Amino acid sequence: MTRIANLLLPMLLLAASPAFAHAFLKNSTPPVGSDVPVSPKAVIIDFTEGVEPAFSTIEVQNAQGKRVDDGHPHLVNGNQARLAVNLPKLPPGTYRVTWHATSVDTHKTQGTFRFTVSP
Amino acid sequence: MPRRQTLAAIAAAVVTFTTHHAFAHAVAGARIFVNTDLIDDPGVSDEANLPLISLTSPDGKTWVTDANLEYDKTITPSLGFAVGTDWDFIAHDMMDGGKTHAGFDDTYVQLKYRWIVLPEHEFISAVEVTQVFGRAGTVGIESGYDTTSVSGFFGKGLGDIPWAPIRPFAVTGELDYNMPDTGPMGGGATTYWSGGLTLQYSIPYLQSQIKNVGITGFAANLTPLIELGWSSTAGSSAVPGISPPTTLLLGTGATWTGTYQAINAEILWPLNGAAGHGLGVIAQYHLYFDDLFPNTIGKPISEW
Repeated sequence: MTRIANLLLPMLLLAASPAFAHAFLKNSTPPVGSDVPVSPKAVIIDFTEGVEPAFSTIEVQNAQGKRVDDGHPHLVNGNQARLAVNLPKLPPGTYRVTWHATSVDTHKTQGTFRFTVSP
Repeated sequence: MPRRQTLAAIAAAVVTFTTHHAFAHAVAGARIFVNTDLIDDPGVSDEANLPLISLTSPDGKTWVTDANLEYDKTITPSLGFAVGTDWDFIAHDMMDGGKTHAGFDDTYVQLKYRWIVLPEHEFISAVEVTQVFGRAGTVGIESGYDTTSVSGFFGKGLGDIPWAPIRPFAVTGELDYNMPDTGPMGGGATTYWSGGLTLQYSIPYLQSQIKNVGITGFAANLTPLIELGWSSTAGSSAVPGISPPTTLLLGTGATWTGTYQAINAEILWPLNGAAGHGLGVIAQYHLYFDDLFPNTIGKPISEW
């Protein structure tokens, strides 16, 4: 233990780079698995860490597998941990959101969830 | 029976599951295969156990406290090595007149290769070679012989199953073939199999992939799990009485996974006499260097 601690502690103390990590979904609008009464204007995902918008995507598909978002994922108000994609007015139905995130330290993650626009 | 062989028998029965493993975390798509205690996960990464501690009893009277320290380093994104050792405190050793002993157990090094990751299917698999140095610890605690092991690992998340209630589950598995040296210092030790399975239910996965059910705070990062560890002889021993017995050990508990660290705690349930007597406990504190220090000690030596 002593040898390992002696080896690691100096490196830990000297490591001055900022700490980032895998970016996973923390919250979303609309919420994961939710039923919403009206069509949302956008899908907004809050990640646990900052993401690189150029290498991160959100895609929304309807029940027939057709993409319905505007195809331009973007950061919200410059918040690097909040990515959004705009939506047209959606008819009632279930929609599938697929996201791919590359965190600012290049860790790659992905995920999917659904939400439903109630009739 | 020589003293170190009696302790080796204790170790084979009780400590087999808690040593010589890189208790790492692995990511495949949206799935995190969390740290578990009885078997290793199927990934390679930059991290450390500081430490993993278990308290078990092989006979209901002798109590073995094992503290494992391990450092894992990636050479490339798919290839990693680990070095670790254990410190044991054996109280009321009934195989040595009720005496108490303490000291360093075997030291080991590992080379692990993650050969496949299928993010869409949350599948990951790896192979590993481990060399245990059984004469590098404290005489009377160390095993007294070296062991070479080859291992295979897999992890599969059930996120691609259409039935939503089952999708937060994941299974991982490990199978090892262990080859103690057969020289005079080997003491007649024989080859043996070991491994196990885990079943994990990820609350983070539930809330980020299926339905946000409103769990917040500490519980939102929990992954309850159950795991089964197993070992069984693969050959006959030259010295009667010290062959590794078949052991079955169940662990139930949970892993709390944060951004930079994880904490795991389980209750150990021996399923046969060779796996111990009475309940044991095991816990670990884990640091993710790849997330803490992604640009220095937390990144692979080579991106090749």
